[in-house]
Amino acid sequence: MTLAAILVAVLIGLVVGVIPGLFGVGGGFLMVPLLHVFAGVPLPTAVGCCAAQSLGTVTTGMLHRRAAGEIHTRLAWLLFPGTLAGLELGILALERTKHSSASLEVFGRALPMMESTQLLCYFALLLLLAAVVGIETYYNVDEHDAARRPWLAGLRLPPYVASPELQGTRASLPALTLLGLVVGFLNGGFGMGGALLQVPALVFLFGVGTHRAVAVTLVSSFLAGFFSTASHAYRGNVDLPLVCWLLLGGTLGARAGSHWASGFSSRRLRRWFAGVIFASTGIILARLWELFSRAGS
Amino acid sequence: MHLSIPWATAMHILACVVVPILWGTVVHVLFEHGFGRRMRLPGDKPDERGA
Repeated sequence: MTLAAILVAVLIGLVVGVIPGLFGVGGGFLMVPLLHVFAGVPLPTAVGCCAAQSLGTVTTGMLHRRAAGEIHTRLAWLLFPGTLAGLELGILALERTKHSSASLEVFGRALPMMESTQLLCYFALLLLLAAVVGIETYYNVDEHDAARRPWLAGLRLPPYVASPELQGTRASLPALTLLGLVVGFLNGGFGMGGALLQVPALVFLFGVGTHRAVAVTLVSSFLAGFFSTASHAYRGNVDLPLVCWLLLGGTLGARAGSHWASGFSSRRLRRWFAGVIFASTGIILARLWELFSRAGS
Repeated sequence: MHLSIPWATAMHILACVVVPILWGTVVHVLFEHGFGRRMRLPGDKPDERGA
C-alpha cells in the first residue's frame, strides 16, 4: 500500500469510526460507499474489508456488554441458521458481480450493469434504513417496552420457540429464521452489520426489550461478522493491511465520537444520524452520476 | 478426509478473523480498563454516555 492509500484508509476509518462513537451503531452503510468511491476499492473487497473491520468493533462491544453481564446468547443462536444462510446468499450474489461485463443501457448510455445494480440496491437499502430510523423515532423505541404488544404476537406459524429474551412469550421459529436471513443477506452482500434493522425488528415484531435486543444483536453480529469475514477471506475479498488501517482509524474515530457525543442530546444525535444516512445516499448518487457521465464520454 | 483449501488460503482466512478479534480485545482492555472514559460502541443507545 502506498502512503496515500494508507492515509485515505485511516481517514475513512476515522470518519466511519465516529459513527459508533456518536450514535452507537456500526458504520458499514457508510464505509462501503466511501471505500468504493474515494479509495477505488472494488465493491466485493469493500464489503469484505467492512465485514472484517466491523468484527473488531463488535468484539469490543460484546466484551464490554459481557463484562456488564448483559450478554444473551440463546436468541442469537436461534437467529443464527437464518443469518448464516443469508450471509452465504449475499456473498454468492456479490461474487456474481465480480466477473460480469454485462452493461445496462440507460438513456442510450451503456453503464456497467452489476456495479449500477449494486449501487441502486444500496441506495434503496439506505432509504429503507432512513425509514426504519424514522419509525424508531416515531414510536420512541427506548420507552414503554413492557406496554408494547409484539406485532407478530398473533402469527400462527409453528414451530414456536421460547427464550428468556422473549420475556415469557413464544416466537415463531420460521419468522426468526426469516429475520436472520434478511440480516445475513445485508451483511454478506452489502457489508451492513444489520443492527439497524435487527434491533427494531426484535423490539417491534417479537417484543424483546430494547436493551436485550441490543445485547442479542451484538452476539448475532459477532457470529455473522466471524463467518462473513471467513467466507469473504476465502473468496479473496479481504485486504488485511487495509483492514488494519481501517481498524486504527475506526478506533481513533470512535474515541473522538464518544468525546463529542456527550455534548449533544439524543434527539439531536438521532437527527444527525438521519443526515449521515442521507449523506451516504448522496455519495452513491454521485457515483452513479459519474458512471453515467463516463459512459457518455 | 481431503482438505481442499490451500494452506496459504487457510492462513489468510485465519489471519483475517484473528486480527480484528485481537484488535477488538486489545481496544477493550486498553480503553475500558486502562484509559478512563470508555468509547461508545455499536449497541450503545444515544443516551448512554461513556463512564
